[in-house]
Amino acid sequence: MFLAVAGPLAAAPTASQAETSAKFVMHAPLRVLDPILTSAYVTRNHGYLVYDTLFSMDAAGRPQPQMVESWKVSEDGMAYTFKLRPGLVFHDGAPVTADDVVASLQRWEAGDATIGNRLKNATAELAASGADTFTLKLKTPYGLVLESLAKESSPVPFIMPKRIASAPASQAITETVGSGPYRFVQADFQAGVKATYVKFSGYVPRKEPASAFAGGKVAKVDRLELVNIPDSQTAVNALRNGEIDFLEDVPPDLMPQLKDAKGIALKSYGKNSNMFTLRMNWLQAPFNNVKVRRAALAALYQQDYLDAQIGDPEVYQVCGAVLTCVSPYASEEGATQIKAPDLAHARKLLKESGYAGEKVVVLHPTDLPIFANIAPVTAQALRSIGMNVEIQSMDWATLLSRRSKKEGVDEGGWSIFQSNMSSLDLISAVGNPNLDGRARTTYPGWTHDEVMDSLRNRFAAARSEDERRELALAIQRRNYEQVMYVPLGGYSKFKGYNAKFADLVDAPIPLFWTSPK
Amino acid sequence: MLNLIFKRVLAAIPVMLVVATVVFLLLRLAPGDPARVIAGDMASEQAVAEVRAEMGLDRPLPTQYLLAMGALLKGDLGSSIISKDPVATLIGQRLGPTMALAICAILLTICAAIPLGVFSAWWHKGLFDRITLALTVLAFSVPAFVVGYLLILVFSVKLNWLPVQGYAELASGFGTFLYHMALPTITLATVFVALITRITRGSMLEVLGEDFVRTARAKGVPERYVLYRHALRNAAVPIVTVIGLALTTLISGVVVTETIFNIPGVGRLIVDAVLARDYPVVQGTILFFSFVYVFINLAIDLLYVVLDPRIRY
Amino acid sequence: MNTAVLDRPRSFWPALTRDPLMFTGLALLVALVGLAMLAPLITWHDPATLAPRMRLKPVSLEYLLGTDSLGRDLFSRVLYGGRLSITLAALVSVISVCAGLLLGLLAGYFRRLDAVVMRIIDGIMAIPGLLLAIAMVALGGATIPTMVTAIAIPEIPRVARLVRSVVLSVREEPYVEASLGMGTPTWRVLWRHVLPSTINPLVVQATFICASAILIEAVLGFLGLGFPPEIPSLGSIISEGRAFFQRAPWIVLFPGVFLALLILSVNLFGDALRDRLDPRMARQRKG
Repeated sequence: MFLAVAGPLAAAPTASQAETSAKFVMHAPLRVLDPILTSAYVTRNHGYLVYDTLFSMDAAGRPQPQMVESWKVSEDGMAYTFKLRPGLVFHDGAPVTADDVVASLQRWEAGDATIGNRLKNATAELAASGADTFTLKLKTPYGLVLESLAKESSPVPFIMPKRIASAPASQAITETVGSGPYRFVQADFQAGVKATYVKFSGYVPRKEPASAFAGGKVAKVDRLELVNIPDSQTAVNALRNGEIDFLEDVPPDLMPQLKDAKGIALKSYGKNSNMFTLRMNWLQAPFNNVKVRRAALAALYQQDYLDAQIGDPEVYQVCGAVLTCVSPYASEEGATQIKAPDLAHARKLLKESGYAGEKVVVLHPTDLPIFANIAPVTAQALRSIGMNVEIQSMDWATLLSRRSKKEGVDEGGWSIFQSNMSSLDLISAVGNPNLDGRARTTYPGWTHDEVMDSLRNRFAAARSEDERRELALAIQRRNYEQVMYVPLGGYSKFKGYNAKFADLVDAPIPLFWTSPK
Repeated sequence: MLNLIFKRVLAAIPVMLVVATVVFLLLRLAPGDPARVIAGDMASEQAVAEVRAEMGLDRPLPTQYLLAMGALLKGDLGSSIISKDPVATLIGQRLGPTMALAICAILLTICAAIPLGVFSAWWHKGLFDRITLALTVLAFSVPAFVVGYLLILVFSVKLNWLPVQGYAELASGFGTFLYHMALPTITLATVFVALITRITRGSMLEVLGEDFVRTARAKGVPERYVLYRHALRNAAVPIVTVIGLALTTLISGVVVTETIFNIPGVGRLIVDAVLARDYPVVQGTILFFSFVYVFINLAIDLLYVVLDPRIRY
Repeated sequence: MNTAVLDRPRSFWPALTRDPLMFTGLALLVALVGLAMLAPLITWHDPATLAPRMRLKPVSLEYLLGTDSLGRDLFSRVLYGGRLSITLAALVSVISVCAGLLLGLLAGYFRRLDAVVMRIIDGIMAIPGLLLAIAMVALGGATIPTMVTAIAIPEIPRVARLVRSVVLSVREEPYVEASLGMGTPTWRVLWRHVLPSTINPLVVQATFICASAILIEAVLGFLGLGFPPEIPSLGSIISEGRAFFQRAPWIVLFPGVFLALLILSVNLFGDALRDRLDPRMARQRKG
């Protein structure tokens, strides 16, 4: 505890008693505070400030213990025993116990349709065996237990007090109490406008240096204010003027304005940190016909999307790998959209598919500049091969509820929606929601494919790298054969910040802590 | 006097009733299911049914009307779909910045427009008058968002004198407050200044042509006196009338200005609410603004008695 | 003394050449409306076609006003946007004038209806026009009928009041009383005696409603609440251009200037029209 307090103090001797503060702006407004109820990235980022996790991914993509001090795995890999670190305490003063952990994990498993669900189905029993120990007994082999507990993408298995985590996953929590490095100030919260976090003096960071999500977390400032600036040009200007300190997402078109700005640093989250994706509705015509899907795929061209949305070739990467180009198993087989399309061929495919002019509704979000230009490109590409396309524009929140409708387009349904996803969500063959082929999958698109499902199950149970690599390639091929989703290209997201914050840990998403000194 | 006040207050009540009725009808006459609009897109079927029962949407229209009016009388403006807070609370949170902006704009208007109007009338058909008229037409025509962005381009980006966005409370220091408030105030006040200048000018022209002014001049009263004590005093009534009527323009202007400059006021609240399909907030905010308008006009009506002893109803 | 009172309403055409302001207003209006309505003939790029590699290009011979972030030609988008604004404004004008006329006649002529109608009108006037339009678009979606209704309704009260005051004063005239005394049916009296007096002020009011409608449609588009982005509308072009304001200011400035000029010319024209056609109103409103 002394270290946590002394760290920032020692770093700024002249401001010894003055409170340090910072203002930061995220890519979207923060409205919902429950990180299990919604998988929105902005709520996930909020979660990383106030909550802590059992395991965390380090910069090499390996799960490291965070709240856990030590653990044992049985010989056959079917039983795990975990012990929590001493001194873990919630923001309301109560100590973190195994009961809290079990309740939180159960709520997360119920709310996470991919990895959490998988872990739940493989689990025979998850229970507390003491105040600070708990056990996990599997009923089927599952090689990704630690990776699951270290899941970085939303929903993240954050640990909450049992009384809060007892609420069902479909019901929003009403209190924000965690055991993370910052404490949430409920009284200051104005949904969509601002939120305040203060350093939690009771947080005990690990001793190792910070590495992505893992290692010791020392809160960078005493007081962190999250403000919403919906207009990106305004936000960039505010950063240059010193009115804000950190901007999560600097649009590529505005990056030149920060390149030479004094005292401002511009840094990438990494190559291919984000990807645009396209999903078709498998339940309704015309995309319930795989031949039509393949014809549509043949008309798409990544270069158009990337030029329209990103513009600067230094920032974008053409990438046809369904697991992203930063995955160790990346392959671009089958990705015809990385080359200029042969429209005549695509038109031929469409004619042969039996497409009878059914209306294709493309959903278009208007309020997120990070991908407002994607849908028009899709519409133009599909129209050029003779499809009957209608763009329907709406704000992102409405789009999210529209895309959960399974009806036909004349009853308020949809045919295509596009998304901008973090590579974190796509890189896992098991976690990538687009590759979910289960019968009762919930990710809109409802791509039911038993072959893909069995490939993923085998991947989860695989115990050797070679096996995984082979299966990943098969998954890549199968995706394009069936057109489960179409990667539309990747790009490097950039953050802009006051140079004083250069020591914040390097991670694929904004994290506001530094290594212990 | 009290009788007068009572009558005016009584006259305002039907107006408020009409406002509430219009808003009531809007929701029910629009296409789609009102219960779903209020419950939100993400609500489950059960939640929608609950809303339907609560608001009596399955009952005949007159019953619904009584229920709605009853809720209104209790001060219940509905609750946000997203944050679940009562709309009244949300408005209360965001009222400060909006009022600050509105008051600054009104002050700027009075300080700028009235002298402009008075002197235009004074030097009728002269160069000052012609220039003022031209500028006012220009000010009416350039939309607030164009004005706002031009101001930002010049003063924030190129000259770096003023911030591009944001709002600072009065509590954080008068200087800081003005620093952030300068550009938004000018943006909002532009149309208002043009309008009030015109009205002042017109009103003054009329009054200056009146007999009693000629009499005063003939009696040898100094021009300054004529201007202030006689002319302006009488011209005040139409000016104040227009300020009251133009309040709706001010409110509309607040919405755009808060969006441009990222001020967390009630204007932004309504825009965010529409984009988030949070209809209860939209509805509640409209009711709030309309009632404010009615109250202020009522106050102005009562102010007439002070300003113009000739007025008796 | 205000000389406007002494002027008789003069005929239009000679006055036009003598008043430079009115002439400018009309000329500008004709030019802009002409450009906008002839958009399909003048422009050589389709306003909706994307060309991602030609994005954010400045003014050139190929793209007269540059391109936006999707590589669409700004020249055609601005003209088509102007076309939409003008068409919408005309529709709004016609509808609100007709509705306002009807209400004003009813209120002014039939004493029993007067109180009721006026209260309703006062009520609608109490709701800020932009907010009412926003709420209606939020509920009804951004289609042409909804937008026209949403923008027209807040304008109706002013028209109704205007008509009502004209009717009230005309009603007292001796020839009207005589006509009624002779047994002429009410509708005839309204048609032959009352209506003609309302035409001049209505024409003036209609031009101001046009200006107002153009502005409100642009504001709705700017706030993201207007027509879907596929349909070029001046307000939404400006809104999309916001994100690129410093990098490509033409995307905000050209439609902004066009919009301002359009509204300005309508206002100038309306001002001059009012000075010619309705000196009494001129005296009351602005001098």
